[in-house]
Amino acid sequence: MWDTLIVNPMINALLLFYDLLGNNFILAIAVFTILIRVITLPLNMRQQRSMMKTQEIQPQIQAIQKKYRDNPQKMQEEFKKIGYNPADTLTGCLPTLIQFPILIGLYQAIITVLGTTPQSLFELVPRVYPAITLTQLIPVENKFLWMNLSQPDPFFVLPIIVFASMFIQQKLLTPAPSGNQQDNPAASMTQSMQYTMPLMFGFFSLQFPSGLSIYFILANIIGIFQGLYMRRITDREKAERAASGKPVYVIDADDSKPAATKSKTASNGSGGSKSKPSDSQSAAKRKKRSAKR
Amino acid sequence: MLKLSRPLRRSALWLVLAAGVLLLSACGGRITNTNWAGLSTDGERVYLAFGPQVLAFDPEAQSHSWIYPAESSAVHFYSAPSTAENRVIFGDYGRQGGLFSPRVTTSVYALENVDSGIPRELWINSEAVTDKVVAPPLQVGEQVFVGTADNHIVSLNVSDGSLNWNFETSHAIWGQPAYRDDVLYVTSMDWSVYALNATTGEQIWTTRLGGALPSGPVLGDDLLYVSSFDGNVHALNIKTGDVVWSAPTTDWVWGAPALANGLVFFSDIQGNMHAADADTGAGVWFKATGARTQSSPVVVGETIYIASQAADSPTAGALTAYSVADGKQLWSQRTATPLTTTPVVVEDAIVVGTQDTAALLIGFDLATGQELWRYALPETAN
Repeated sequence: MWDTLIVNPMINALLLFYDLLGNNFILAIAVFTILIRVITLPLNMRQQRSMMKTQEIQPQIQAIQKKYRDNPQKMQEEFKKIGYNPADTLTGCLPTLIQFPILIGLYQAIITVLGTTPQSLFELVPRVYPAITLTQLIPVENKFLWMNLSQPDPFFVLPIIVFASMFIQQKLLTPAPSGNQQDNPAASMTQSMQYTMPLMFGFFSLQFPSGLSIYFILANIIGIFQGLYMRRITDREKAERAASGKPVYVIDADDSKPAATKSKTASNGSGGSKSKPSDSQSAAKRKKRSAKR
Repeated sequence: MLKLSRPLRRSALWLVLAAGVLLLSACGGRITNTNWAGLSTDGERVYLAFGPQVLAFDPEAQSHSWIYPAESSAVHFYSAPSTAENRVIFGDYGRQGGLFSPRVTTSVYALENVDSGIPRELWINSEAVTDKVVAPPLQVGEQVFVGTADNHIVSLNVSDGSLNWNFETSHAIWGQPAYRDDVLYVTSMDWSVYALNATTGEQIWTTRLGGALPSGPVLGDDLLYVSSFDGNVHALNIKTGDVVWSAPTTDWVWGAPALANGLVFFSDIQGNMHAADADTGAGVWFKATGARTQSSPVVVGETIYIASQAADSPTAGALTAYSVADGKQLWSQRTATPLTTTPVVVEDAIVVGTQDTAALLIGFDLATGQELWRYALPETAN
């Protein structure tokens, strides 16, 4: 099932691109990476948008958490009002986790396609769809610059680029910390991921074939552009909301009574809140900071 | 909402990441180190390279003479060992430098071929090759020729392992080279056959064929026979490299052809077996066995032996004997795993190597196919 649904389609896609792109395996991996990023784009965009918006309403979330610490039901109600769904904390790293089956499948696909041993080549034959003429493609070229694509890069160049590109990507995707994040699992996890993910993938690159490292790098570069684009979109939305001056949900963290709802805006629970502090001094400061960003 | 403490959250995060690392690590290891067994013989003993060990098995004593290395390590061996003058030479599939080192070291080993105990290392060369040794080495006089997955054929001095010369092709070399009269014939996965001066490594001629060449060439009187993924066995003039004839079949021809009685025998990977005139390539007989085959046929007297997958199951294997005269099946023996290694003949037994650790080697009677013995690694060596 795993092979039929994941590995074999990847193998055939790589071979098809290799054939179409003049028997250049690096180009085949590049086109394959773009294809994978396009397929996972909706999920990535949604997650990034959700993460950035959650970060934006972080002060309200923390205030609600502080205020209704002993009343979980009320806390949930208040979260709903500002369009925050705590379950998003868990789905925050979904796109990252979803990469694992892709990476495992791709690792197996690259090793199989490169056919570095007679056995792996022999096992490749029944996996190839009839439309692909394998004889003309074998052996797949496994040398690129100084690298043997079926082995790790011996000069540490790729692992360093993987680390650097992933760090930049994570930096772009991770909103700047604000307020006290000690009590916020999502922000805390996101901040930790910013460092652990590049380290982990850099480590992978020391272990796995260069071909897979090239996939990491290309995917990261695409991710960087995607992150820049998302920032532009969210900044524009923020500016539009600031300009519209719509009434928003406000909570006074120092108020001992249940949260006052000055006015409510509809929220769909997907993190798409239009909430914004409007009448307190701290909210004004936050607004100013947000506009600057 | 479930609220985790900060240390607990960090632990959970690291757990998820560690699971990811393990998951990726578990999907194949750091280097691709698997292949089918490498099998060879000096007429008395059977030499097997499979996984972390190389061993010499004595069929008469029904036990191994030696196992190398004495304790398993991360290094794997699959190229059939080459034996000559009390010396066994083979290569490995590479050893990674460590957890944080991506550098892979591949070595060629020469051992003293002892009757029992631990064989003495004569030399180990870890500089001459940079990628897997898939091809069985070939010892000729004072030289040993080693084809590598890093596209080279190297000549080493058999006495100390020092490099004489190396020659680069455009892709990996998986087949054992052939030698005659100071000329080395090499087939490469780059679709080409090379004739080299064995003393200097200089190219004499090269011929490009229509597909990759996964097995070694076979020398006839005036012709060199080569199997190809282009679905042919080609016969080349050994002096010029010109293609004299090509015998077509329906799919890749993986195993090297076998030459006997003026005929050349070969099978494609679909199990279509052919006998052709060795001089002209004209077909003599054909048999569709339906058993996936990539090993080479072995001819002994009037019988041809083929090791393959079982025709009715890709997870089982079969050793089948056919008549050289007309391809009629004489007997067939089933094995628990597919047979992918070319069998070897030791006295009255034909020996197959399997990927089943419970029966790494099985000896069958040449005439009747009756199982004579089987060998499994002792517990201590596993």
